[in-house]
Amino acid sequence: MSFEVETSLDAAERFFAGQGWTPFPFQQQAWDAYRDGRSGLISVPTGAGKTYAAFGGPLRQLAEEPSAPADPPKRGSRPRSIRVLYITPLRAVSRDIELALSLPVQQLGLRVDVESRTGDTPSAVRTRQRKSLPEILITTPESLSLLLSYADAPLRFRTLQSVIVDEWHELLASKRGTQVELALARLRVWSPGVRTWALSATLGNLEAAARAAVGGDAEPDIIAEKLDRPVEIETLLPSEPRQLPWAGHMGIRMLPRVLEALDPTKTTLIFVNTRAQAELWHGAILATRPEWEPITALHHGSIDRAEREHVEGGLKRGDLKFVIATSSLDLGVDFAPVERVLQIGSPKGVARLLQRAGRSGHRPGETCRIVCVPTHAMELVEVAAVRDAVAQGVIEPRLSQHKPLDVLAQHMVTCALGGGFLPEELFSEVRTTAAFAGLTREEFDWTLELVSRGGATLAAYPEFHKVALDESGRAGVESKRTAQLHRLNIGTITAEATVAVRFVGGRSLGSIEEYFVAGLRKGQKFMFAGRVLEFVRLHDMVAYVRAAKGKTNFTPHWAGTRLPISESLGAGVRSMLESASGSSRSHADGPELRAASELMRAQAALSAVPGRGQTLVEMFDSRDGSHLFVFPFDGRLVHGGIGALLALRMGRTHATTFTVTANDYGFELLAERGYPFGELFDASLFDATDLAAEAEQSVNLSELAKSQFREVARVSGLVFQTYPGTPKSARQVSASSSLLFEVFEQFDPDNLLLGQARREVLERQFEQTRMARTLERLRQSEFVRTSPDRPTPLSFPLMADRFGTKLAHGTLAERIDRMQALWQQEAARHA
Amino acid sequence: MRETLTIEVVDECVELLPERAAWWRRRRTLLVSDLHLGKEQAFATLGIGVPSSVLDETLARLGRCVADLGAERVLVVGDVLHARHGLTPAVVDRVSAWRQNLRVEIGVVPGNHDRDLATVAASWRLTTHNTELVDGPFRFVHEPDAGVEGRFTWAGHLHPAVALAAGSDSVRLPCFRIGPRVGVLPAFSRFTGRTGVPVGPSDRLFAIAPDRVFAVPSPAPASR
Repeated sequence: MSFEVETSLDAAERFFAGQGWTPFPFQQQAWDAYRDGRSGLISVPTGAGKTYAAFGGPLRQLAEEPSAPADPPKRGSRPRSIRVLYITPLRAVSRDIELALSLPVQQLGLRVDVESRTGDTPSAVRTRQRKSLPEILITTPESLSLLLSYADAPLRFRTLQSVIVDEWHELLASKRGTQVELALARLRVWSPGVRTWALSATLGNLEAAARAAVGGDAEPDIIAEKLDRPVEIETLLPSEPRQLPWAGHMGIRMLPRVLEALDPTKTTLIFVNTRAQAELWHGAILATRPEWEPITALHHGSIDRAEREHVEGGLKRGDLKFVIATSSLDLGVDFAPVERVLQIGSPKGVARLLQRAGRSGHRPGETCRIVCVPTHAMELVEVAAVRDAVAQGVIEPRLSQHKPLDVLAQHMVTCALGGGFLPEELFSEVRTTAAFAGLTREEFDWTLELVSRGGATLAAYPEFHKVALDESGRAGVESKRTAQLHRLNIGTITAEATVAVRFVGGRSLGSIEEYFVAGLRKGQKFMFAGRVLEFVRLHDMVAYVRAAKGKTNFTPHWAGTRLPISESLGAGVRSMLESASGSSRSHADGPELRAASELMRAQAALSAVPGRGQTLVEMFDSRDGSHLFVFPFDGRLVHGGIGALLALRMGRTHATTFTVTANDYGFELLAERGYPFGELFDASLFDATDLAAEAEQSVNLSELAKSQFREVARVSGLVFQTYPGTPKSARQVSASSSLLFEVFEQFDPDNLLLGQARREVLERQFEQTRMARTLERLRQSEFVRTSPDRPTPLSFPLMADRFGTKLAHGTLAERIDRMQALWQQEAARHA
Repeated sequence: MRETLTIEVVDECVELLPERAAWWRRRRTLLVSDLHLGKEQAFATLGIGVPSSVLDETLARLGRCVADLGAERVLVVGDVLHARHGLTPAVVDRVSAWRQNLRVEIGVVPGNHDRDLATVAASWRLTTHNTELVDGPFRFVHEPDAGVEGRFTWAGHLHPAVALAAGSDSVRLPCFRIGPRVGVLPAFSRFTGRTGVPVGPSDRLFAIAPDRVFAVPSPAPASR
C-alpha cells in the first residue's frame, strides 16, 4: 500500500520524507517554479536549505525523464549526458556539494552520476569527463569556461536542463561573475530550454542580481523568504569605556575581554578584517593561553592552500575550537559545527556581518549570533548602526561589472575554440548579459580585432593572431599552441606579485608580498601562518625561513586588504550621530551608544556632532601646518577621492602642496601654516559635474592604473600568466607590469584596455559612482564649521595616520619645472 | 624647446641629448647604449604582448639623431640585441631595411646580450669591436668598471635612473651617470626597466626628461 503513497509524492518530496524532513514553503515554491519552466534567484539566509530548494526541481526532472543519451553507448560504460550543472566559486567545497547532491540521488536509486570538475580533479577523472560528462556536474567558473573551450562543447551541453549558480552574491560583482554571465549566455544558445537558478545571500538589489543570473529580457522569479532565523548582534564592551582608544584597528587591547568570552567547549570562529590582524590576534591568544594551541588555528588567504584545507577539515571534525580568520572563511565550510562567531573590528558592511553571523548555528530555524568586538571608540557607533540596519533590512547592493573588455577578449578565444562563432551572433549573445548589455558594435569589433590580428600594435606577432576567420566569416582557432596557452590561462584571477614562504628544505607555508620580503634582513623574525619565523634568504622568488624561538609582533603587510565602510553602513553611522546630536526624532539607544556617549560628549564640547542634513567641517592650525577636516562618513575610498578633488580645486585658486589623509569617517587636507582654508571652503567645491575628468587630474592616475593594467593585460591575454617551458625570467618579465603599461601608453595610447584600466582604478580606488552621490549629498548639506583648539575624537585618528598621500598635478615637464624651481629655492636658502 | 647639456671630460666636449644619446662632436660620433632590438618580439614569443612599434620608434629616433647631427659614426657600447628568440626574420628584415637608408658607420662594443650579434652583423653592416675599444682619450666597454688612468671610459649596461623628489612630487627618470673616470649612458630603448644606480660622491647625474637633460642637484633630492 505504501507504493500508492509514494507515487503520489514526487522525487523531491520522497527524498524529504525519507530524511524525515518537511519542505519549507520557499523550497516548495522553488520546486514548483522550476516545474513551470521558470528561472530565477533564491535568497534566504545561509544554512536555511537553499541547496535543496534549487536542486529539488532538477531532481524531479531527473527522476521523471530518463536521460536521452547524447552519444551511442560505448562498450563497458553507461552512456551519460549532462543534465544539471552546479557552479560554485569555491573549489574547496565542491566535495561537500557532491555529497549533498548524491544523497537524494542514492536514496531514490537514480541511475545518474554526480561528479565534480575543478582544478583539483584527478586527470583520470578529467579524461573520462572529456569523453562524457556526468548527469550532474559541479564545477567552478574557470573549469566551466575550460569545458566551453572544447570543440565538441555545443554538442555536449545540448542535453543540459538546469544550471544552479551558488554564492551568486559573491560572484556577481567580480570579473568571475562576468565570466559566468558569458558562459550562461552561451549555454542558453546551445540548450534553449535551460533553466537557471542563482543562490544568493541577501542583497540590496535582488532584482538586478536575478536579472544578471537569468540574462536577456527574461523575467526572473525571486524567492526571498524571510525565515524565522533571527540574527542577534552583541557587543563585547570594554569594562571601562575609556579603555577603547580613539584610533587604531588591531584592537589588541580587547584581548582580556575576548579571552574571557572564549569557551573551549564551543567551536568559535573569530573573524578579523586584515591578514596582519589575524596573525597578531592568533599570536596574542596563544601567548596568553598556550594550552589552547592544539585547538586553535589561523586561516587567511595567504596561507598555503593545503594548510587552509587542513584547518577547514579540523573545524568540520570539531577538533579545532578557535579559528582566527579573515574573509577567506566568509564562504564555505557550510556543514561545520560552528557555535559562536566573534567579529573583531567593525564588519564594515551589513551584508558582510550577516554572512559572518550566518556561519553560526548552521541549521534552519536556529538563531545566528555574532559578538562584535570594537577596536576603537567610533566602532561602537558602527556596531550600533549595523544592528539598526539589520533590523530595518537595509543591505548593500552589488552590481555587475560594466563592459570589461578583457573578459570579453578571453571569452572570444574560448568561443572560437569551443565550436567557433559568427561575430554577428556572438555580438547578440553577449549583449544578453547584464555586464555587456551596453556593449557597442565598435567595442565588440575592436576586441575581435585584438584577438584576431593583435590590434593596432601587436599585428607583427603571429602569436597574437589567436582567432582566425574562415571564408564563411566564422571565427575559430587554428594554432594548437594558441589553444594550449589559452586553456592554461583561462580565468580572471590574477596571481599577485608574491613570494612563496618555505621552510629551508621543507614545506610551503604560504605567500607574502615581494616588497615586504625586500625589507627583511637575514635572521629577522616575523610572524606568519601563526608561527614565529626567521628569515634566511630569498632565492628564485622563494623566501626561505626557519622556525624561530621567542616573540615578535612584526607581521607582513598585505596591500589593499581593508575594506571601506559600505554606503548603507555609512548612512547608518550618520543617523546614529544624528540621534546623538539630538537632532533626530527617533532616539537611538543601546549599550554601544551608551558606551560611546563619553566620546560624543567630548566631540560636542570640542567641536560639534553633525545632526540631520549637516556636514561637519573642522579647521585648525597646528605645528604641522593648517588642517581642514571634512566628515562625510562615506568610506575611506570615497573620502580619498573627494580629498584629492578638493585639493585640485582649492589649488587652482591658491596653489600649494596638500597632504590628503582619509579614513572611513572623513578626510584631512594638510597645507602649510596660514593656508586660507576658511576663505576657500564653500559648497561649490563639491560640484559633481565633470567628475570623471577632474578625478583623473586630481590624482596621479597613471601610477595607479599601472598596477590595474596588470590584471587587464593578463585577463585579456596580452600577457600569459602561465607559460609552459619558460625559463624563470618569464616570471620576472610578467612582474614588470608598470613598464608594460608605460610602453602601451606611449606606443598605443588609444588601446581600449588602457581606458578600462583607468576606469577600474577610479572605481576601485575611489568608488567613483558612489563618490558622485556623496558629492551631491554634501553640496546640498548644511556645513557646520568649527575651529577646535585641539584634535577632536573625529579628527585625531586622521592626524595619527602617517600614511597620507601627497598630491601634485600637471604634465611631466611641468612637474620637473616645479621641482627645479623648488631646488633652486632650497639652494638659495642654504647659500 | 629642446634642451641639451654639454659636459667636458678629459678636455673633450660631449653633448648629452634628451634622445638618450651623447654627441661627441669633434669625432662626429654618436654614443649610445642598450638598444635591445627585438626585445618586444622576445616578449611576444614568451606570451607577453608589447607593441611592436617599440622597434620602429627606436630605429626612427636613432636615424633622426644621425641625420640631425650629421653623425659619421654611431658607437653602441653594448646590447644591440636582446635575446635570440627576439631575432625573428621579421625583426632582422625590418632592421636591415632601415640600415639600407642610413649612411653612417655603426660600431659595436658587444654586451652581454649580444651573443648572436655575428648572425646579423653583415646584413646590418655593423663593425664589431673587441669588448674594449680605445679611441683617442676615450675607452669604450659595455659593463662599467673602475676605468683606467689617463682615459675616460664610456659604458652602458646599467640602464641608470634616478628618483627625484621635490615638495610633494616624485618621479623616476633615466639618466647619465658621469664619474671622474667612467661615464654610464642611459639605455637608448624606451622599453627597458630603470634601475637606481649606486652614486659615488664624485659622480654627477644628468636626468632625462622628454624635453631636456638637466643636472640633478647633488646629493640627489631622492624621494622618501
